[in-house]
Amino acid sequence: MSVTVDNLLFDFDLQEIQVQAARGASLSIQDLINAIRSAEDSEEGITYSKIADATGKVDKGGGFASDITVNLLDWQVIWYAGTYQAVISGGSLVGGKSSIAVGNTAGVNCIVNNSVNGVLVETGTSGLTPEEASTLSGIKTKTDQITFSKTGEVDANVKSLNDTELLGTGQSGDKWRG
Amino acid sequence: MPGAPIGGVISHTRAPTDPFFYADVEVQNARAGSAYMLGYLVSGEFTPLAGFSGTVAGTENALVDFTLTNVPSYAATMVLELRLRKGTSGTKYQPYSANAVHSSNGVIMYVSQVPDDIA
Repeated sequence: MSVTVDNLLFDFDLQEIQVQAARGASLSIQDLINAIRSAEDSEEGITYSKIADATGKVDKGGGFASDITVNLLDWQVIWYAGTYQAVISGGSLVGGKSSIAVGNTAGVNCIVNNSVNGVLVETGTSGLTPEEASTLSGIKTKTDQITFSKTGEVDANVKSLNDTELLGTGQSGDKWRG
Repeated sequence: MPGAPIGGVISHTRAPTDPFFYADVEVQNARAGSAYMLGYLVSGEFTPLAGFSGTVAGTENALVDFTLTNVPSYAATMVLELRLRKGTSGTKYQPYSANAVHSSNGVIMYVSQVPDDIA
């Protein structure tokens, strides 16, 4: 059973959204979710579970809104046969069959431009890998050993000058010398 | 001398596929213009009930109540599922479904469709 919306053929048995050649090689996420919702409320589509969830378009103020993420629920986008480069853009496309949203079509190189605009970073964590954190900790151990008895001047124990080890104690009769 | 007995035997045969009973399902608070389909769940799978689908009548997007009459029950405990979809024209709403256990006294399903701000 299938229904076609805006040159996208929805095959409810195969759970595929087949992009038809008449549509061309580009597909926007907005057009995709519009067609999905239309297919879902068709006479055929309502007998099946919904095709996708969608989130986004949250007003951020100043005329900005978050982008759209379409999560395909065990469905896939399939491009029409040919040799060309296809592009999906204008949001994010996730989910799909075995978490693969775009099925393979021989000869078609599909670029999915998933946007990442504003991500949430868990607080209380640095974002570093354990190895990077260990390296940074080692550096801090060393820098903590640096002493500034006089502001702006690092305390140092001079053992060599001009690559030559200093001799002597600096005391009378045992002057420093190279 | 008593007369010959009169009367007869009234028998009724129920086929295994006959419904247990028929009762009305009232749907409240639906958006006019939505496509609807009533079905029931068999092992979790949706099975449409023939003759209980269509478009919610009324002024576009208005909240309306409607009744589906003589809905059959094919199990002692049959879980109904009502699907509402409105994603093509006018104000769109997210795909919606509601469940209820069918009853010989009838069922009321109150629905609350959520506007679709994305499609």
